[in-house]
Amino acid sequence: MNIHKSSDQELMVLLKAKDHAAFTEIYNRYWAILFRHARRMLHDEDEAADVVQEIFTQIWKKSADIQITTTLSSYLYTTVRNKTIDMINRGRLAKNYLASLDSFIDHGQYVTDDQVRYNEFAALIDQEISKLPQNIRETFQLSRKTNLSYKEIATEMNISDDSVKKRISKALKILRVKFGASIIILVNIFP
Amino acid sequence: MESQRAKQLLEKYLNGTCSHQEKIIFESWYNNEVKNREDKPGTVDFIEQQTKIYNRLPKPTSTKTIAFKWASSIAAAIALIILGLYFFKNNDTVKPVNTNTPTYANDVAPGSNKAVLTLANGKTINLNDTKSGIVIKGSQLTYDDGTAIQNLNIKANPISTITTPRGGQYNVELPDGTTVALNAASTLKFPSTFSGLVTRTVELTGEGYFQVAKDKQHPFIVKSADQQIEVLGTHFNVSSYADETHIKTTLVEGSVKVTSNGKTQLLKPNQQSIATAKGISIRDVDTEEAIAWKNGLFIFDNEPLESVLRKVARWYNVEIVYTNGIPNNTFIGSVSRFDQVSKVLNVLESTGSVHFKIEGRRITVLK
Repeated sequence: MNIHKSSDQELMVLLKAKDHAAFTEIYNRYWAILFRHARRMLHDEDEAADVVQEIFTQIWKKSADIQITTTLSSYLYTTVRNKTIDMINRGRLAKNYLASLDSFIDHGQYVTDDQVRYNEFAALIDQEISKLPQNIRETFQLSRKTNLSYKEIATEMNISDDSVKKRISKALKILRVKFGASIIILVNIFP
Repeated sequence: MESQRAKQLLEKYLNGTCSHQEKIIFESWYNNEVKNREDKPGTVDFIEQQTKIYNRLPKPTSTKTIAFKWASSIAAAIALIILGLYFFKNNDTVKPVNTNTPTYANDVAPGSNKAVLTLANGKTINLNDTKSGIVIKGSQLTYDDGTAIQNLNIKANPISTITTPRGGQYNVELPDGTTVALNAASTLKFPSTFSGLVTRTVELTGEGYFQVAKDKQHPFIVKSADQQIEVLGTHFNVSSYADETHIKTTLVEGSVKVTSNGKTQLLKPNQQSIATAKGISIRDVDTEEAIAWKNGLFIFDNEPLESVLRKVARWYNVEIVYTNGIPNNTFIGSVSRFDQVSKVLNVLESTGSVHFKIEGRRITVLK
């Protein structure tokens, strides 16, 4: 199995099993986009590098707890947001940001739908892709091959959660016929 | 002036103690900031930076490869399923799952051919576990390979029941040619002969797969608890364990009439009736799941963990203990019934949602 051709989903499973090659591949795919996001917010290269280091140190240490039911990108994006905020809170930009937040509480436009708000956030991070050097951009784009979550698939195909479950059953049946028994997946995908 | 409420909100967000409304405000603000911040003009040497950060990251703690094959196969299977959701294409990347990863201190062997015959006079006979079934023909009772069972004349000693223990299964061919495969922890009560009787009536507790011989003059009736199934000639599975809340009857071919608490429903092939104290409901099913046990498999189709483990408990004759409440996950998939219990548990664990400990014949579910 060629690690560079693995989907994000596969890498997550491998990471969960403490596979260091998978960890490295995840790093190579994502570090730059996360770095750019942190740098945009922190205006400091060293702090941005620290954020990236913290993220990857944490996912290696906590790899066993990773839930395969979320996508790798959403896991990393929410983590970079948290680490960046933490860095802001401790750093020289705190005052500036807090003043902005204070004013936003009174005058800002809230996006109340969680999914819409997350999508907006993910799109903002993804925009960084265009600014990456060619070779790094290509590595990143590997992650976009097969990492749609069930939910995203359901939305994209405009079908119900229930019918996704049915399709999973069907796909598993084909697997079973082809490869015999011993395939089980968890389906708490729609909490 | 530094705003206290802004500072508090930020810290609550970092601690994960925000209310939903506060989360909305904070994350909306953050998105807004991302939009408004100008990125510093890029002078970074990305290749150098990539190596620099990487060198500061944790290195592998040991050199052993951890279940790589296993993880990659599961991963490949998941990837395939996701691809499969599109068009079942590209599935050549999938390998069979390898579950040879012994991670438990001890193990439990699967069930096997075990059953006890009880005669009308109360005498019991342990059936040979190297045989898979018995055949009753006229006054003759033999194993299904034709060998004799002790010196038994069933005219003089009518049979009353056949019972499989937990961890046992056995087949019976009744005098009319009807065959019944009995799953673990099941009992079938039947007369030694049907001759002279208007109906062919048997009683089942537990689970059995029936292939009823055609005889329009003599309806075949299966009684289980409050339910009665009437058939003329057909194949169906009945699951009526006392520790399940309902009786499931699944029709593979032909037609059957299911009566429960005074209500009657007619089943068509690929339908399943679910009889509870409240009534009978019917749904369309894939019969493969209901008769998987007969084909040496567990097949789960959106099955809650608790129900999965009840099946495991009956077949492996183990006790299930929950330490932290019962996880409410459901599972899709299949696994062989003829492997050690650890293999089944390993496959369930591979989903990352549950963990098990095996001690003797007790399996503890850790969250």
